[in-house]
Amino acid sequence: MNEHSSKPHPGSLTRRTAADPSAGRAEGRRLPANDRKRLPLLLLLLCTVLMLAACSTNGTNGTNGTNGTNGSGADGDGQAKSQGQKDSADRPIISASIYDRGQIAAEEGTYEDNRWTRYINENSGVEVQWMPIPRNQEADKFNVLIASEQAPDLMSTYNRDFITRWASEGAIQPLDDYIEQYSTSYKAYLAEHPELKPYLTLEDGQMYAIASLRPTRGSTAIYIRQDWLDALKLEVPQSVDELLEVANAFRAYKADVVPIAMSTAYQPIVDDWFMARSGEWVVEDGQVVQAVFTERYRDAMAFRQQAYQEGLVDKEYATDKEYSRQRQLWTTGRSGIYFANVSDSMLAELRKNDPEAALTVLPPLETKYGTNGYQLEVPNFLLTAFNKDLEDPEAAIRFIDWLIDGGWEPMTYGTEGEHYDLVDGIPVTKDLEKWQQEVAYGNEYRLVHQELRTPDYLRIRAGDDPIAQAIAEMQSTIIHNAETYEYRKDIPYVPPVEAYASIATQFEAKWKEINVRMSMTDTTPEQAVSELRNAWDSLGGDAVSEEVQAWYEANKDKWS
Amino acid sequence: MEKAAAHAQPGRRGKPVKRYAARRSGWLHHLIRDRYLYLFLVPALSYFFLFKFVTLYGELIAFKDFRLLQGVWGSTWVGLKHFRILLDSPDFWLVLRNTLLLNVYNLAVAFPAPILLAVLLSEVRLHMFKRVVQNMLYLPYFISWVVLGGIIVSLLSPSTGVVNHLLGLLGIEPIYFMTDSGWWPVVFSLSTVWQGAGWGTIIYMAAIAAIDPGLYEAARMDGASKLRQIWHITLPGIRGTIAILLVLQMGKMMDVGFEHVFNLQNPAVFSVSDVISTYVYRTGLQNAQYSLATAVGLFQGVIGLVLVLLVNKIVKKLGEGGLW
Repeated sequence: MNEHSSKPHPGSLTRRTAADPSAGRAEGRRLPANDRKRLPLLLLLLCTVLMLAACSTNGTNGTNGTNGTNGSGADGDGQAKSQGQKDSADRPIISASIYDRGQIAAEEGTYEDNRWTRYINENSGVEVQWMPIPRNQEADKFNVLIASEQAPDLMSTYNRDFITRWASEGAIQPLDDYIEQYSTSYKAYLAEHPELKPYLTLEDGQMYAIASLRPTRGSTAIYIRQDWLDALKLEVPQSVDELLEVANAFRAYKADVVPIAMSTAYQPIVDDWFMARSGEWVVEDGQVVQAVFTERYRDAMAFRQQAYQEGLVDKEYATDKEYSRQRQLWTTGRSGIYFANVSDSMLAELRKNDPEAALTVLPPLETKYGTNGYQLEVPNFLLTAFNKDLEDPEAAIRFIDWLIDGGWEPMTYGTEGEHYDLVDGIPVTKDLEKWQQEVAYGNEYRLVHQELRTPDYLRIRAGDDPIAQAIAEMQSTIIHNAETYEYRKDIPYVPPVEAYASIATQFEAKWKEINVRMSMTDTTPEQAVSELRNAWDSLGGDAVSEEVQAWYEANKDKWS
Repeated sequence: MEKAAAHAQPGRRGKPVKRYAARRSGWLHHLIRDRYLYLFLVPALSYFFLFKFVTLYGELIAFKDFRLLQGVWGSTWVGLKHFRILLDSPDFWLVLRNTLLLNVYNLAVAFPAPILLAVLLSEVRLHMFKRVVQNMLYLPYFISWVVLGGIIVSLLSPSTGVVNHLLGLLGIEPIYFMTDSGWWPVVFSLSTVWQGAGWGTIIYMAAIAAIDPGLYEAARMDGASKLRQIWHITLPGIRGTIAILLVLQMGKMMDVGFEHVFNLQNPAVFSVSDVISTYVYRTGLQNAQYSLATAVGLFQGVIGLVLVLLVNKIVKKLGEGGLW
């Protein structure tokens, strides 16, 4: 190469003119040969740098585009690792997933590094590196991480299907031996709460997940404007028909009222009134069927259609994917009834716009099929599974033991004196807003915990902030309702039948589509059901039903 | 390569051995002579090698029952099982139909739009105005579909949207464009135009700029009107460019941008908006049926390739250069 370049070719005019000026300018006039040697090297270097740059931006773009914060997760890991090496060479390091709910204020840091991650690293004796998983993209994010062998040591989810699938794929490992061998506190906790066991154990009889009990099993709620009811001299509705009457009265109450505001809870709540939750299996006369094929489901669909046709719900809810319009309707006082997730009353925001606003929680509503309670969540909190490649199970168990022993407490209440004062042994929150910003996001870093929300506990925790008190009062009613009304759930968790797992999301897309379309058009419930039936048949649903039936026969004695 | 062939020309008349020698030395000679220029090719080539060729290995899982633990190579071969499942699934045919239909609409509406725009822009005489308009037209191209999707939804909202407000002034009842399976494809195509037409003009503008101004001058002398000039000079002048872009567009016939559809679709219009990319996302990434999703992707790629080859042939038959 170099020999050639020092003997210019007759035909290489362009190259010579390109190389010569630089040779002239640089110190290399005395050493032209050297300079010429350097030029290709330089170019090569430039190319490599460009290529590396291209590669790295490509990498991050790709991952960011397809699955959220992978890039930042990896960066965070790197940082955490280097920090860890500085201050603690002896502490074992494990990695864990954490739901990214976009809840952390900028001053608090990030999901990888904030006061609670530091608190854990300083106190647990284990260094935990957190990998954020976008809450509403956990399915694809986890799939990608597992498929590319980048999954964290501890993977936490609320979705038991994932545990089933990961176990069948061999991505996670059974835990019985580790708990037996290394654990003291969690082992004792599990012995105290044997009701958790079935939720953590898979078909092969081995335990694949660690979890503690939920602080409360309430999940959905309907909030109603008590001040509107009072102004209209109406009673709190007790049945679905009364709710329709109230909603109609609300519509006429003021200009521009959309009586009902929705959230993700709208469809589940309506389904639950009629004891037919979309996508779930119910047992009718000993036969396991998809809830959408029950008689009752037609009434659920008919209600949603009526609500839409009569203008009781937002006419544009179909395009309001993030429910931002709905939240706006509710917090600006344009809606009087809010189908919400349990702790999402948004009373503080509502009071800002309408200081007179007063809320009440609706009791479970009656239908012609009786009264069904609001949804009861499964008893377990986060399910945490151990990656098959977990190197240090002892450290992981030590972390879990530390959490259940009391490591969870500050992440629930905050720091004494700063976030709470002890009153009769119950930590009373001093400043709700401060607590929400600095402590609330710590919730899911508690892979296990022993918080139990009872009405009394909530009332005392609220301190003397009027909004906090009102919220605590409503939460207490919700807990009371959950305890007094039975919630029909024929099968406690999704049947771990692989044939069903492979069609469930396809079918979900169908029933969502058919429900929305049906509400907005004149399709009768019968037509909608036959559409559902076609969709189910084309997915080979009947064969799946048979498998689920067989599974049900074999397992029904375990939980009843 | 062409250059190499040209160099080899003289050798062709000589003996075979000589011919090969001549050709090889010609090829090498050019490589060595222009080695720095070729060096510039290295990044692009390595990009294609790394991100387009190495990844082809992963396509294997379309023919396997991919299990994470066993890896790509270790999973069991199942032949065309996943393709069979695919072709048997009514969902797939729906998705295929939607993909093709949306692309046909795009071909009809969004493909000619930049040509029209470029021709109009090239006739603008006021330089400042032209620049401003061009920049405004490029703008949507740089905004992500998440944002554009939100803008479109609120523009078309029956209660608060501008479009329905204007329709209301004409006495037309509000239309809920986004949930009407008749209107949705229209919104989709027009949003493609909105986002991409401005950007698409760049290549056509360059082609128009390359047309010999003498031709226009001569046409004016002969008393040709503006429309005549466009019809007889501008359009024929950019014919080759249009042909090439058409061939490239055909390669995308089986492909509808995921972000575009995903951000505009909603459950009410699934039946017309579920396309291959959203189907792959659902089955592959969300439902972890990697092999099936890969089979869909491969199917899509093969059909795309066939279409490109076909259209390229046709374009060449029509007397244009084509891609190769």
